[in-house]
Amino acid sequence: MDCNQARRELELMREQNSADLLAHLRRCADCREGAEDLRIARLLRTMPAPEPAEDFERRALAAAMPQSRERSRVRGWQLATAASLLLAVLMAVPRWQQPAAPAPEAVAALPVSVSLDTPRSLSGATIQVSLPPNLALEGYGDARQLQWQADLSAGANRLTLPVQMRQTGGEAEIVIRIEHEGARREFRVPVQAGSADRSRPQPTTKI
Amino acid sequence: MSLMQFFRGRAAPQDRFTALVRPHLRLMYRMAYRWTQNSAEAEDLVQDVLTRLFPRLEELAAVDKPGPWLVKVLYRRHVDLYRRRVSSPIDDSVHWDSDDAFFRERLIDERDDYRRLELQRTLNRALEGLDEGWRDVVLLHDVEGHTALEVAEILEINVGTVKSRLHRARKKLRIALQPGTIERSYAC
Ligand SMILES: [Zn+2]
Repeated sequence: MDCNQARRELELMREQNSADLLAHLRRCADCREGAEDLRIARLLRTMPAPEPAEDFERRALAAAMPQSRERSRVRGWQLATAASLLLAVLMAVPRWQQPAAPAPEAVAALPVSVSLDTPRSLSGATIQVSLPPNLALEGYGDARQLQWQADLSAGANRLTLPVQMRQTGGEAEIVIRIEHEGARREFRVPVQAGSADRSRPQPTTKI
Repeated sequence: MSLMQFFRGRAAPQDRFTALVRPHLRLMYRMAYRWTQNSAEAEDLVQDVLTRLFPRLEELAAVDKPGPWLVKVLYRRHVDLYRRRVSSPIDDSVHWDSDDAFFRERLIDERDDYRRLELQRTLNRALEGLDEGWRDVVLLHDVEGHTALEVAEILEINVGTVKSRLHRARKKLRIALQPGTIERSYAC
């Protein structure tokens, strides 16, 4: 089998490739690469995406019309503000790593400091913090979710969470949601016990 | 009334706008989702673009291929909202993060497709590691199926750049799918 025949057979996307083709792939690096490219192309082309919410098309069109009764849920500048909110993890240092202060076995403190950067002040923003089961906030018992209102001033706003690790080791993710006049933004802060190198800021899902 | 009359202005602007845009809303939503990796946010982005487009009805009506044109408008707005953060001391743009929660749900739902979904999740995660310029090209061309010419038009780059970015991006993605790489980087 030559390269042309091999490519043709690959394009057919058979469930099972012929022995001839497999033999050719074993000795031909070009065709192996081609086969891998085809596989990746198919995976990308069928990459799943969620469906929009029911009735999305009708609502979106209705809200776009001037004098529409259907008010757009979020106005442009709110969306822009939410989108431009940024979160940086300033500090996520596991204290028990320092030799001078050996960690208590059950609970270890891991203060997480983040900076919330907003281009304009957001008064009455709602801040919600969600914790995975292996984390707790000092002084808040078993509460998995905390929510409060705050006025964020333009620029950087620092937020420090007295996080405690319930079990040593492992990974956890704190979710911080900011909501302001209907526009929401969500950040995931990865926390990993035993190393501080995962403190890359990871603003993820917005609105 | 002929179709041309319809688009030239006999019908109410609202109806003309709807007729022009509606066939492409799913495409716009999907593309917005590819960029934001969040479905609620994708809806808001499309909503925002539609609201800003309505006053540009005549311009829209004159466009030859509304699909890629609308994706281009969507792209420009996305860049304005998410990537123009040059003055920020913290970061210059919003990170693109693979929507893992979506894959997690899918993986529970669709046991039959487990292997394929797992590979797709790995690929989607690998997109995080690409320069956004490369990622944009992969999302538009390989994921959503736009032609290289359309991608060039949408991103305002030349076709040669589209092709070379695709080539290099695929090379990186190939590495991400190599056996061993998946388990090493993405154990969960
Ligand atoms: Zn060959």
